[in-house]
Amino acid sequence: MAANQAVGGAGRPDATHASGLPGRLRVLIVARERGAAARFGGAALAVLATAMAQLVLFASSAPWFLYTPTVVIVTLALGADAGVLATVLAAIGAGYAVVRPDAAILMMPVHWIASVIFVLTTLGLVGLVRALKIALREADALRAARDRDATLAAEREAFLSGVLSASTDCIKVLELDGSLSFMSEGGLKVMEIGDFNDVRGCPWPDFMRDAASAQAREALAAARQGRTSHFESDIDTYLGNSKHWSVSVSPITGADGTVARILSVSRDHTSLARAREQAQLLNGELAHRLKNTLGVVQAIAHQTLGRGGDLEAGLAAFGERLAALASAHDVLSAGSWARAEMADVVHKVLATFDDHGRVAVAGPALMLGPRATLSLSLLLHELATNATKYGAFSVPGGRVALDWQVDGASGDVRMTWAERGGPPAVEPTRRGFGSRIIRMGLTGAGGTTLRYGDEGLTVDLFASADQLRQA
Amino acid sequence: MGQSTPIRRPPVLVIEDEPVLRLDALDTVEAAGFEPVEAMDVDHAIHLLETRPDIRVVYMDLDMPRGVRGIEIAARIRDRWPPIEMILTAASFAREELTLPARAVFFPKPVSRPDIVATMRRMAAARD
Repeated sequence: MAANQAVGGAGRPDATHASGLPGRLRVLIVARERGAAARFGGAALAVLATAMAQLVLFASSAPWFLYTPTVVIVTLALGADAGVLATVLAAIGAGYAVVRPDAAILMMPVHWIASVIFVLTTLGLVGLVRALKIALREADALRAARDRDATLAAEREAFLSGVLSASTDCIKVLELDGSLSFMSEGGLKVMEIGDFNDVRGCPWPDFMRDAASAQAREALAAARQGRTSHFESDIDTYLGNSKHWSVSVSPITGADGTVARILSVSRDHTSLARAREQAQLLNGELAHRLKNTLGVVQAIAHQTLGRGGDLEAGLAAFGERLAALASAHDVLSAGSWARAEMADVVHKVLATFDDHGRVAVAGPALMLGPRATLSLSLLLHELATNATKYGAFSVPGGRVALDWQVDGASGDVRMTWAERGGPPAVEPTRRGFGSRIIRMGLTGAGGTTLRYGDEGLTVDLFASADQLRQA
Repeated sequence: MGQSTPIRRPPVLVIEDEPVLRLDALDTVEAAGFEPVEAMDVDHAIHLLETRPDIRVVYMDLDMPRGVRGIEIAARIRDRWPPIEMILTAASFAREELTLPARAVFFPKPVSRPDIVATMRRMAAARD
């Protein structure tokens, strides 16, 4: 029974599963050996039963006749040692049927000879049955091992194919000539191939153009020589969409140790390549901006310090202008160095001046380009500095209204800086860097009007929304 | 611009669209004894060169923001006005990356003011 269960589960029809007598007999033969008492007791009982049948059926004629099948059955069912015991007991039993107490040697010589032949042939049968038992058990063990291997192989295959189809890489197996013989499910998806049969057997390098195709051929040649190689290239998918791939090509070794096939794994690196490009671009842009900013700092230094005068005051003014420049960069860096929101620039620059909420800011959303951001930052800084020295911020009650409007139809922008509640505004006699910056306006091209009134300074700045965005 | 002075000052065209840099470049040119002529952008500069044949020295920033490659503009100026001397500057290029027009001199940003002035003087003197 145990042997039967060990090979069960595979579900294939075989001898152990055959019903009827042969099947039951086989089960009986390969069954595990019983304990010694059962074996030897069984053998003795079987021989005893045979002896009684012998007495009833045949009396003293053909005394060995029934014992041979009994010994065979005992051996089959209980094992070889039980068979040997049964043989000995059978010989005694059979001999007892023909014993002649008066004979000098208990039996007639012919009976002795028959007994010896019986013992020898029956022991031979016991040996044969034993060999049969062993052979059947070995066959069962082999079949069990084979079934176990098949189950393991099926599990391994299911595991591997699960791994392959879970991968988003394009995993291909190529023949040595480079023709496609397998592609993973995920590979078909990323390569946009609907049916593998469309590409089966096609030369892999032919899916690429020019440089990529040459790289693929080189990689195949290397793999044929047992080397793994790697390349990156732009390769179109089956539907013609360009993607950037990272491709590894390696040899698959066969059972004899030589290269049997070639494995090619391609990973879609399109977004990585784009990010790399972007980073490179941004890096170049930053290097450019840094040098440009140094140029601007140099210009501000010339303009602030190059005119003689009080060095202390000059250095202080220089530092404040650099701070205005830095706030322009702060706002720009939040917008990837390409744009800034007008309100953000205004609040950033005026934050240091507007300590008591004296600036009222109002205006719609408006995008500024990098140059306009820089111009506006420096300009607002100069206006606020002026107001601190001579205008609305120089007295406690002074206020500034800063607002801007965009004309929806023309896109014209008008920004107004109006100082109120301070001393009357007086036009300066000397034009320094500050007033030049103010006059250059929002885009550096002018468009500034200044009104010096008793109520305070009013500055109107004009530009177009397009100019501001592009500058 | 263009004030009349007893001694005729040679004009230098400054093509620079970064306002602060332009302002400073104009000051530099003026302080060096030249007449500063101001161009906000390339179109403006071409217009000035067409109407001011006396301009023989151009100081130009190659960092053009609106998709125009400054070095191409410089080459066009060289082709159209061969006698004009050019001083070029840029933050986005190194000298080795550029194919400069003949006789053009390049200064990477940030520029050295004395070098620029010396080059302008040399160019103006060679012209006379």
